[in-house]
Amino acid sequence: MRRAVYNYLYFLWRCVRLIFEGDWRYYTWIGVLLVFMLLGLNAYMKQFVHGLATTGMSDQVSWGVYIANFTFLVGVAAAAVMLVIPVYVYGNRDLHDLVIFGELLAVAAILMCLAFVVVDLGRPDRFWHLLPGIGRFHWPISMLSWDVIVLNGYLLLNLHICGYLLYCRYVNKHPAKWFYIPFVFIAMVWAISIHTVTAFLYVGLGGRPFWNSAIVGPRFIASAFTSGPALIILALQVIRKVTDYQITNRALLTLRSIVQVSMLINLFLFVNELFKEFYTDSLHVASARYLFLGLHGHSALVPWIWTALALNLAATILLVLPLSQSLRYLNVACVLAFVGIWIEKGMGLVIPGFIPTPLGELVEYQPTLNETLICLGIWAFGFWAYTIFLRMAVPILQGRVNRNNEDRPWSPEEVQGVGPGGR
Amino acid sequence: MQRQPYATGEMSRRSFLRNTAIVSSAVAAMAAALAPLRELDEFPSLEEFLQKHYKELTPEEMDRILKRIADEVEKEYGRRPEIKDYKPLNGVQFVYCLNLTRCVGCRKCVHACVAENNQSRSPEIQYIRVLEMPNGTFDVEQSEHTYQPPAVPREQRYYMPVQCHQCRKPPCVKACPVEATWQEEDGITVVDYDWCIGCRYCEAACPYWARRFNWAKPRIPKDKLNLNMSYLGNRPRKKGVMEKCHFCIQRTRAGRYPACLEVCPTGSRKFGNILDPESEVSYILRNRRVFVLKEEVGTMPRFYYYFDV
Amino acid sequence: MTAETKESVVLTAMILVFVALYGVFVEDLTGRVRTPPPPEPTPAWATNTGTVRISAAEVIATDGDTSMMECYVCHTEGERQPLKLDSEGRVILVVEHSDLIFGKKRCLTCHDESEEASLELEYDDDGRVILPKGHEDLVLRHGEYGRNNNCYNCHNPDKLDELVTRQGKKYPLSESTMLCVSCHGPTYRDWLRGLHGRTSGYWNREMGEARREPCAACHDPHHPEFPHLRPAPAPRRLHGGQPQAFAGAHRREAGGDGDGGSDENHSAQTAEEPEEG
Repeated sequence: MRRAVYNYLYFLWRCVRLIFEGDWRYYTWIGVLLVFMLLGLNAYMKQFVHGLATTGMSDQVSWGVYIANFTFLVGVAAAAVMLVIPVYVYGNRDLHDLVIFGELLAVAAILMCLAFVVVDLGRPDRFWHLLPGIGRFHWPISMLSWDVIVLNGYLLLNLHICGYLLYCRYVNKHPAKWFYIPFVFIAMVWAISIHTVTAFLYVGLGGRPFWNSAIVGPRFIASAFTSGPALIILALQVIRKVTDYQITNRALLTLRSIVQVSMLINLFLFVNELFKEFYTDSLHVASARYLFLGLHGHSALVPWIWTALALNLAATILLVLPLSQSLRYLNVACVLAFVGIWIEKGMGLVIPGFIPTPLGELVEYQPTLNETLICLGIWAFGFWAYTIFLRMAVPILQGRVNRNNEDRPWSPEEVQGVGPGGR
Repeated sequence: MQRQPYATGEMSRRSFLRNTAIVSSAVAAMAAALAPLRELDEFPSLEEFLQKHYKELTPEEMDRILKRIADEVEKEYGRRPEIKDYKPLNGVQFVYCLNLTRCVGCRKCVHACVAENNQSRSPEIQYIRVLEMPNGTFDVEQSEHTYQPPAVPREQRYYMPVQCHQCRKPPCVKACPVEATWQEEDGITVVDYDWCIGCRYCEAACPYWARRFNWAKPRIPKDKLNLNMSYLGNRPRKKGVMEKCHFCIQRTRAGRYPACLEVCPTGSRKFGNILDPESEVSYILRNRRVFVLKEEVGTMPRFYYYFDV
Repeated sequence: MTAETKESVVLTAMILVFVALYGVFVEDLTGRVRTPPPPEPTPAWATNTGTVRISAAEVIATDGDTSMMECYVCHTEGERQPLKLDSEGRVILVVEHSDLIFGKKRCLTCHDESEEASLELEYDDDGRVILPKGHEDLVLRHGEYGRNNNCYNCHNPDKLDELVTRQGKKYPLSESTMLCVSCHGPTYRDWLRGLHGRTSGYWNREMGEARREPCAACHDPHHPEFPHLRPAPAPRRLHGGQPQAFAGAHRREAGGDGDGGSDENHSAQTAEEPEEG
């Protein structure tokens, strides 16, 4: 047992050492990310000392880019399941190894989500109040309590699955099916739930008619399953280029069809929303009117949402045409879709819910420099996390970093007795 | 081009020096990034950090906490407050009634509340928001919040002050992930300022825009501090926590009228115990045309608007 | 350039960037945090719990200055003071009671002392004061259409410091409420219940007393319409410079600033009473 633990720790240490090894492109990339992370850290320290008045938020618009990014990234994290389902439910072998890349992306996205929540809190030092059993956890009534459970649970699920599969590959073991397959299936359902719970945060508020609509949940899922796989398509091509890991075009095209269908559904649901708001034209349309047309002379978000719509439409057209089977056009479509949905879900959902306020006051929101630096810092952190995960995972999956390659004597007993499942 | 990992663990001296330089410059930059912490003047003590939720405090713990708060206030403002933990009175359910025929929109209630409840003046926090509504509509989108004519009331307007309605089915209480806000037996929805994590979900949930957040350290003029304080009510808050109208808990649980009612020059505000059939509020609810804001949201507020005739 | 050289260049650049960042952070070059401006003092009248006026009854009850209520300093006791009527039978308000002409105010309440010379009143042929422009709404007005435009509706002509109802019942000044009641019954009923008018003190009558304000504490008997008040300062936004909330169809009046505007508008009567205990 002690040996098993020691070997596992050595594996972890080996992974950590991998992070520091790379070529000049790797160091440049990491360097740039570190710069943004440090700027973000500094900006956060200022916010920690002076309070959230350093952001552009106010009592009228009390959630801003932090929660907007959080909402978007929960969707990206949920989309890892879009790789898992074809592989494990439909037996798609092309995507098999890519599951790990998708789940590592989910881990990075979840870490970003947690970071965005922490920087948004007024009293992050009171984080322990949220811990069940130690603090006072208002479960099951508060949707935020559900969110805490599902996000952390998803993080642990993915860490377990990826960690176990990578470790088994490292020690040349067949992974024991019972130790990861059930978790994979749990993760499939769990992924849908993390984003639905996040949607329910908004839907459950009767005082905010812009959010209090059943369509918000399905829209979240549809847009998540568009933007997440779009990002994965781009990430896989980066991996293909930077390492020599083999990724077939067929895999990319499978993901393309997922993005295609999800984007069409997303647009359809969007049209539903537009109809409901503008055809009914009740007093509750105020927030939608502010977003799309401007309200009483305030129209800061109008160019953003129309840009998002244009980007989404352009992406849809590209995706539907056979033209996007060519990777160049596919990449353009993915970028368009990712950015379009980021705007639509972030600024197009969170901010208009506060404008006008429940008492009819119209106060607009503009993030400050400090707030923006923190956001960039967290995005950089996410990219950095994903980069180092890949930096560890790719050589292991390729067999290049393997216990057999290490310059260290292993006894035959050690080789046999490690980990569950054995030989 | 793939580089071989350092299987043997050997490095040249130059790369060792270079690596050390990188790591130390990165660490130095990170330490410098933390430079703003130099200005941090308020950090919770260990006791404060570990303080339990209000509902779990024993009376001895509460006494210690009250003393600690009094010490802190004395240190910050130079005057020692009298701070108590007021418990709900038996057989009391508070209700507030506001006479829209009489309110002239003078906003004295807003400022009396600020003075009584030690609210931050900069950044400004005001629990009560008076809406200037045009005659003929309840659509709050047509209201004006920042009216400042030479005299009120203006022609063809009526005035509707809004503050926390202490709803019987409060959406804010549902929303809070740590139970930092809850409704007490006498109907007041309170906030434990030492438990709130500042996530502002309750602020998003409130249909009446009644909750306020401390976006920065609150600033109260030292000479204006109200020294009659309560734990759940008007003791000075810290940055990063929520607050809201609590029906002047330090007054009402001692049997007195809230500050907004006392200052109202036209007598538009009425407050009392609805379980007492002789109270003003009972009479109003039986005999006047009464309505609540946003009834369709289902919050069942304790704050009733009515007309005189 | 070989890969080794590129790597060296990149790593050296990183070292320089980190050192530069060190400087940026220590010197706070990404922007100092602006602290909120110091709080502006709230005007005292915005938290003044006093009533808008002090009634005669209150002055008597608190042993205040009753010199204005000693009618027989000027009038002759026992002699009925006839009312001056104009050609249409309307009462002409006399200058000696100019506080009735201009509501409860004397000229100097709004005008500056230096203007006193120009504050001469003009009279028409009937001897009626010609109201200066902008003062039309300040005149004695108890009820519309001049219903109570006759002093002896309420005052006893034989005993000027006594009040009398239409039914002939007499009350001293200290019991002026009962005079009001003689016509305003429903309001009195509401007042008794606590619905009309101000209450202060304890809602819980077992723990303390509640104080009710009598009619004349808020309503000037000669001009009972509740005075317009100057509104206390409007709320400020956390991040200033934001566009103001939409004002329905009307924007804020020009001249309406944080100070509450000028005193030129005579309809703005402010409550400037001493603080209540």
